[in-house]
Amino acid sequence: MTTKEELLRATRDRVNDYKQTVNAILAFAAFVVHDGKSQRPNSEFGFGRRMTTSPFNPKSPSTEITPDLVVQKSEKYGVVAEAKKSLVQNQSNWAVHVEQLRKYDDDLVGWWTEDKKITHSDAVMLIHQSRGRQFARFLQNQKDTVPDSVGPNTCVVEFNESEETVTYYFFRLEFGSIPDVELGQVLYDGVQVPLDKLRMSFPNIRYYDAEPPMPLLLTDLWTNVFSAMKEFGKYDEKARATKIQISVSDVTDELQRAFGSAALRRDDRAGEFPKQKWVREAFERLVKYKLATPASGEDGKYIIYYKSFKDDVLDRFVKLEVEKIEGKEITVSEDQMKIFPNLDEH
Amino acid sequence: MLRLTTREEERHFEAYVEALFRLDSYAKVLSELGRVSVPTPYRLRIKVLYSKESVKDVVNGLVEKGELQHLKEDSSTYILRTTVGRIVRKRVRAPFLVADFNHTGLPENVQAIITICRAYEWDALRRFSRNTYPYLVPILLSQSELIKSAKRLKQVTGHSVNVKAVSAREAFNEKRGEHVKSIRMWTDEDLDNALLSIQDRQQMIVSLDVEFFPRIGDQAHVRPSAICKIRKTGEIEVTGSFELAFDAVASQIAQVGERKLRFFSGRGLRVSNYEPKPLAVNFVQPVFEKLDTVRDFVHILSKYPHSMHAVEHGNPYAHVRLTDVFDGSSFDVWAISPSRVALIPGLKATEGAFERLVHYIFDRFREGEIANYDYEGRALESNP
Repeated sequence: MTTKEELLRATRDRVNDYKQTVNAILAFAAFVVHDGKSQRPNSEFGFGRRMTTSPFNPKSPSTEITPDLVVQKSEKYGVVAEAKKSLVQNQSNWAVHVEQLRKYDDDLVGWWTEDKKITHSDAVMLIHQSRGRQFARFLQNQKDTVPDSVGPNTCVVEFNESEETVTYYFFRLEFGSIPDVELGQVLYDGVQVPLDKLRMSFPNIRYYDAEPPMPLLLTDLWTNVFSAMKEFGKYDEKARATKIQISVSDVTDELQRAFGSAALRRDDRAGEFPKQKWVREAFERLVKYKLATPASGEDGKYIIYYKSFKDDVLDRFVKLEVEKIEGKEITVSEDQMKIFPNLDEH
Repeated sequence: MLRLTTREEERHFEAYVEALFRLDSYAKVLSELGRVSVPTPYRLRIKVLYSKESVKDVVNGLVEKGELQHLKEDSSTYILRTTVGRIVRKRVRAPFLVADFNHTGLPENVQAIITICRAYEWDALRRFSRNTYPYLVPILLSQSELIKSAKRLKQVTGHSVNVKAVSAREAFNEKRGEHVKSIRMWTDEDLDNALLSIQDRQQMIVSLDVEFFPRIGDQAHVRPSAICKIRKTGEIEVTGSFELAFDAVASQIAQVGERKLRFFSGRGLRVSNYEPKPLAVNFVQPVFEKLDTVRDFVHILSKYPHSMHAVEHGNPYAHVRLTDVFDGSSFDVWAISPSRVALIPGLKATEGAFERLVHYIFDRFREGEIANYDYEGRALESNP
């Protein structure tokens, strides 16, 4: 059985994992679209972009897929990537990722070109260094056993956040080959993308096309969205809080514009995140924490009881999240604990 | 001027001051302020303030709410009536003028309140202006802005400028770690020498008392025409020439403050139509090379007064979300480069909140150069 401290740490780790994944995707996109001096001509990228598979796709022919990252270096070369900060220990569960990569390793439609197609694309598993080699070996075994289970243009690129004075995102090719001459050798040797430059280019991107851990979303809502709406609320003496009426759709729209999909380039294939469903869940969570109530008779509207917190807001929501788990009398065994940080798999 | 010694004398002088602020035109009030001789314990005091629109409009709004009264509407003079003191309650009447800097070409959103009063009345007025934040924003000067402004006074006024006294904070090491002590030094040095020794000792100036001596060629007068105590909070205490203090010192503070707050404005995501406009504080030397410094920085940020905080990352780099509870502004503060802090504004980020945060970082961590956090990196210094 596990202790509350372990659950707190695991929840906090999930928050960090999510943030690192956002940074890794952004950094990899920046590496592809930027030549070190300026953005390459005709280069584009998108998170959760809707792409269409070919009729010959061995897993899902002629269907829509939404990879974590679609990045186009030029009209001739692009990368479709799935990002994983962590994977469950049990390798029998890894096959699903191989299958997903197989879907992506295709002549996809949806690129930023005239006919929406591209001359060559690679399907990349962007995976944390701690699992990179294991996953590459697993992929090789799969390929050796069932040759068509891994596509011809599938690669594994591992990433890591460097713990040095200057923070970098490090990328290195661990499986497959990148035919693009400008990217291939560099990725094989390993490349560093400085986090400072990344934040300078994309100061506000905080989400990607995967649901964030609840404490992270709640912290953003409490410290950024609701705080900016406090002036429109009314102080309630009894509740000792400012009552702010707010709608799920308005908040979703604002989060998308400020920190999500709409802060990146938009077109009819662009993904939309954070999603309304996640925001609604966050509001419901606030209702459980007695920090909000549904507005009577108005679907999708809530009254927030806003007040300032003296302690660390993220820590507070992490603690509330763990208490919620405990309240449900969920007990996590040590074996489960090992994989608990991986519950954020998408 | 001699000190007033009896309560009777004080009452007479206060009546005179109130009559001055009741004069029927703004120009007459300004002119009389230039002539009045202010005895101890009274002082002529100025505080430069910033507002989104016009300081005068905000003050008039407070009159409508009944928090202030007009003394003479046409003259832009007001009176604050309140009580102070917890044990012994004292009634306070603080008359003041809201003066503009139109003569220097500054817009109406930077104006000054000018009063003649004793210390406790001034404290009441300051408290009142503090309570009107974020509608009225104080001009907060960094050490370098204060020093540059003081140096410019020599050129602007054509006077010899001597430093009479300095209030500062100085760090010192003890067994239990680094501490800060407050110091007050009296001197009679030329401004340049005094500032040099302050910088050498790495002291953080709180206020400077400077004397202005009229000068003809190389020959300076033996008596100063004005003595000004200039505080980092944009406040000036004047003995002697009001014109000199207002036209030179207050105008200089107003210009520096207006330029800075204009640089900070329009950066919240809502007002910028969701286009990010982050700022950087650049340090000459790398400061975040040791983890201890990063930890200290996170600790300092988590103690930011009147704020909510969320430490998103504390090692090996810092990422802290700060929300200003005064006006709901929010910022992501990143220390990811050894010689830079990035301040990324949230949905709302007013210029007043930006100024308060930057001043806090300068005061509690260290001063740096303010610039845009982008590849061009245009500095505040280069802002017109």
